[in-house]
Amino acid sequence: MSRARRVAPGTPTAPALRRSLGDLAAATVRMDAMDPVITELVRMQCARHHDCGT
Amino acid sequence: MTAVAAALYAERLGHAPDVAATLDAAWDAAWSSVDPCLLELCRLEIATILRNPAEFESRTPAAIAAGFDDRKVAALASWMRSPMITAAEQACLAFTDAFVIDVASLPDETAAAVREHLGDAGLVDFASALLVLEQRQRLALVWTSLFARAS
Repeated sequence: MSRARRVAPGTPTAPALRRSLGDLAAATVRMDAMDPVITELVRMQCARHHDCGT
Repeated sequence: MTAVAAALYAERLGHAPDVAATLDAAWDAAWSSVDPCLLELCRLEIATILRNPAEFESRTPAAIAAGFDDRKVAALASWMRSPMITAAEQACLAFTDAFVIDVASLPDETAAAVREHLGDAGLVDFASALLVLEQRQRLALVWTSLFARAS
């Protein structure tokens, strides 16, 4: 599949969106009811599904 | 988001107020960062794909305040050829379809069409806002499905 750059390097995200999505990710991983290893496995599975390098 | 979905979020995330607060903040940021009328059409398209009739029947206050034309809703079923749907809206709806169905396979030309109308920053904001909308609907559907079956 294609991996062409889709936006110019350094293209900003709207600050409120960037901040809130970052905060959401941080708050999610702080949830402690789920085993951290399972959490990480799920995160990696999501990354694979989304073809994301993280 | 429907009132039912909002109540569901409050109920299911009562033990995690920081997560609930960040979800709410992301929701507000999405509607303040992208044209609310455009985003409303895409939210309804997500509801169609995910078979979420409650979400499809609701309207977002930000979109109503921005003058959302409800006649476009009827045109959504044939958005590729409807004169009610602008070229920019068509590009964003095509992106929405690809994003929801298989984001990893979203074609370059589909992204380029949105960029042509919204610009680079607009494409980034649109994709981020779409993530918020899709995530919210999927989460509500999962909760409804899981807990309805459990009860």
